[in-house]
Amino acid sequence: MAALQAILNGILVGGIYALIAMGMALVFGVMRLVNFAHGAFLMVGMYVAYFGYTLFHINPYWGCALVGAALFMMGMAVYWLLIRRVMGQSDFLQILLTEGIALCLVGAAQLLFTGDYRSISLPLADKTANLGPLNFNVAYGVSFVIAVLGVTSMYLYMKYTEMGRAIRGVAQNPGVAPLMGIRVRWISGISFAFGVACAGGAGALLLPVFYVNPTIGSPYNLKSFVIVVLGGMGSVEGAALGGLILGVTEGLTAYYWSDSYTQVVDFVLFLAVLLLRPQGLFGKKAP
Amino acid sequence: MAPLLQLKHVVKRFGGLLATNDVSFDVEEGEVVFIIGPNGAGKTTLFNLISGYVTADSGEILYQGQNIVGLKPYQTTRLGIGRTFQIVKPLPSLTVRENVMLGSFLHARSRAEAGKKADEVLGFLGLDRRADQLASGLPLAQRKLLEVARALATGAKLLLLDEVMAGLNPTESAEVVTLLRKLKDFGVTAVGGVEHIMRVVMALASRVVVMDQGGKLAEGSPQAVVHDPRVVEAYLGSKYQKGGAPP
Amino acid sequence: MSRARFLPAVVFFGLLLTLPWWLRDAYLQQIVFRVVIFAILGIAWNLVGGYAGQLSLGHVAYFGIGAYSVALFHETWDWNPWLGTLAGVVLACLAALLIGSLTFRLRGPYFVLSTIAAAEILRLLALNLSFTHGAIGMIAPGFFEEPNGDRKTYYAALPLLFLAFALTVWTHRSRFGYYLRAIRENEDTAMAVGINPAVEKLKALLFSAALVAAAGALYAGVFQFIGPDSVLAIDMSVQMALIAMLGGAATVWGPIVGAVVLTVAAEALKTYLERAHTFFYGLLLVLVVLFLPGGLVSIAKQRWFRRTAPRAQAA
Repeated sequence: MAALQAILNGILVGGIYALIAMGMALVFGVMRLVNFAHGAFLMVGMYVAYFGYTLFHINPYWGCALVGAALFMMGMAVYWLLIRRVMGQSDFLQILLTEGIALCLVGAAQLLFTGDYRSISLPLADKTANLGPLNFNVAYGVSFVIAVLGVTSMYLYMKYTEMGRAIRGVAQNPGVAPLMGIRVRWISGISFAFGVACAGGAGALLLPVFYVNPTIGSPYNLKSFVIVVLGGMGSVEGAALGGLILGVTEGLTAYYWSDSYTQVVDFVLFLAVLLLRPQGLFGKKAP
Repeated sequence: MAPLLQLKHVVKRFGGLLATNDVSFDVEEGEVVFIIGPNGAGKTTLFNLISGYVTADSGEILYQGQNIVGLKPYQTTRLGIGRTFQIVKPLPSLTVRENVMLGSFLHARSRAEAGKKADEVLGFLGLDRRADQLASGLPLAQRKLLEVARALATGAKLLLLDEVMAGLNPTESAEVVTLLRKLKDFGVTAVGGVEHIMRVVMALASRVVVMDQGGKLAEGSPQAVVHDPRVVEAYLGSKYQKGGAPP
Repeated sequence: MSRARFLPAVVFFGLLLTLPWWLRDAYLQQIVFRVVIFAILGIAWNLVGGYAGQLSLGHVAYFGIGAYSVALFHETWDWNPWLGTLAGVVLACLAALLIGSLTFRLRGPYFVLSTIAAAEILRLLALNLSFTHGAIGMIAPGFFEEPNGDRKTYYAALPLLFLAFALTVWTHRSRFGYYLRAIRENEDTAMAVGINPAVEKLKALLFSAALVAAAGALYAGVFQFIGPDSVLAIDMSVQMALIAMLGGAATVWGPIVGAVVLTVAAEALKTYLERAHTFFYGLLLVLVVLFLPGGLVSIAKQRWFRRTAPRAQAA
């Protein structure tokens, strides 16, 4: 029973992971860019939600859409000012640039807000609900539901809107897309901004259950890429599934071993998948 | 004596695509063989198979009697198989001589020895005046020659030249041909890949292998191949007949 | 010509050797010591990240292994720090063999992320295992007794810097260095001239890891207190890359110039940077990538080329 409880906890966290990783997957799929600032944007989202709550009493649950919108604009700006200039250059420079952006964001947060841990206390976070014999924290439950809504709407957007189809077109074949009249740069910008918005929105959802401080985002770079790799590169559905798998793995690790080793297991899993099944757990083997 | 290179029933699939379909042919020492076929006929795959960039699914590739299927590219190079790439890739930040030295380092004991060997090859190919120039500044024809030089400098006995004429104007092609002819004096057997049967190929090749859709269509002397009805029909048909008289 | 080439190196190391005689201020001496350590790290990273073009952001792993070895072997078996350093270098090389043979099979972003993952695994282990005392960290023995322990350690660091520098000079001109650059540009082309990329990259990583581990051991000996967040933090990996990139990747002098500029700038801005050093490094990294990917050395080179180009053409 306790193991089932661990799995449930894992699934709840995994839903939020899925949202974070989906942003990473989108950017990677469309731009072949690993955004090393992804975790930093998540941290920014948490701070925005934090001040939205403390200053304007905006509940992070419905505020996460506002945070997502704010981060979307920020992502757009970062793309046009910085990322755009290294598109088409080596991975080497692209990665260093996003790492530099991450350091700037973390450093700016340290300057503005100090390294203190901050948190908000929603009444929801103290409540526990039952699901049969299992129980869960209501705040986690609500975050999970919203994250799943976010992932689903993103999936539908990609599938049924013109822009979504264009984005997928570029992701599947960046060479051909320009010939079909899709403006790749514009699409790259939108995708990057969407990716940042996912990270930011997820940050808002994490706020009720986590502390926020400037370096809170750094493990999420690797975590989301673990998920992206698990789910097969660059697919939204894969990211959703990968997020759940990672969440459950962490839940079980915490239960059977120790809370402190969840990240070690994450990274070992990451290396193992990259080396043994680079096409992801579900992807077809590439030629 | 056994042929320098023998392909026996070589097959390579990429997914559902048969990139190389049961191809067999021999290359004798000192020959200049051209593999001809339209874009996508499987020439590059064939070169990749011989040099070890892709591994054959079945069949044998014998080099000096040794089966080399499964060897890595650097191992085939060390055995004496040199190659050039369809898209030329010199190291832009190094000089022409340094680029060639990358090849000659393989069998040189010192930097000086590698430099000497590089100068020798550069002189042979007429690139010696460019030796101290950065490779990024070379025009296309000379970058192609630089590729040949680098491969020669590894001490290659068998040289695989992928699309060595592509992108060159007739004058430049003629110059390249003159140089390739001299390869024999250098103790090198050459296998070249080209898209079209050109005057230059006819003049240079001792034998021609025609590829189509992954399979070997015909093989023989340039004259024989040109008059082979299957070749005329399947490959040369449209292009060649429009072009008028045989070269 | 060939003798003049050595002039900058002779002047540079001459200055460093005679430092205690012309720079009396203990605080400034300490800054120079930091420059020396950072230069060693930058040079070591440059072998893998610069010449071989493999963007490792997990180099702190080897630094941590060096530092922790000094402390651990001292605590467990009472080894002196020299022996601990040796053990650290050996262990770092073994770790490099393992990490390298796994991660070098990956390319591009996968490689970068896998190096980070490997280093993070080490950090998390140091943070959670009992014998490393977790987040509390460990006490490391000093290399020398007082008085003047710091100055003696400085003189112990100089040969290491010289070794690292000499290794770079050799690499720059040797077959090994050409092979690394060939791998950086294109592994397929590299294989076509008989290079086994896996082996050459591993060689570069071994040299690099050994140097970084030795620097880590020296760091532990000087600061005498180490923890997962000081000697295994990912920021340190980024800093090594920044030093090399700022000065000029794949150049002989780049990492040294980078170490000098970065350390002096950080020190000069210290009053403002108290809490802003992360921001400062980030900004610098962004600026270097966007405006100076060839590093500071490339500016000097361009000047030189512009001056000599007409003559070269005439010749």
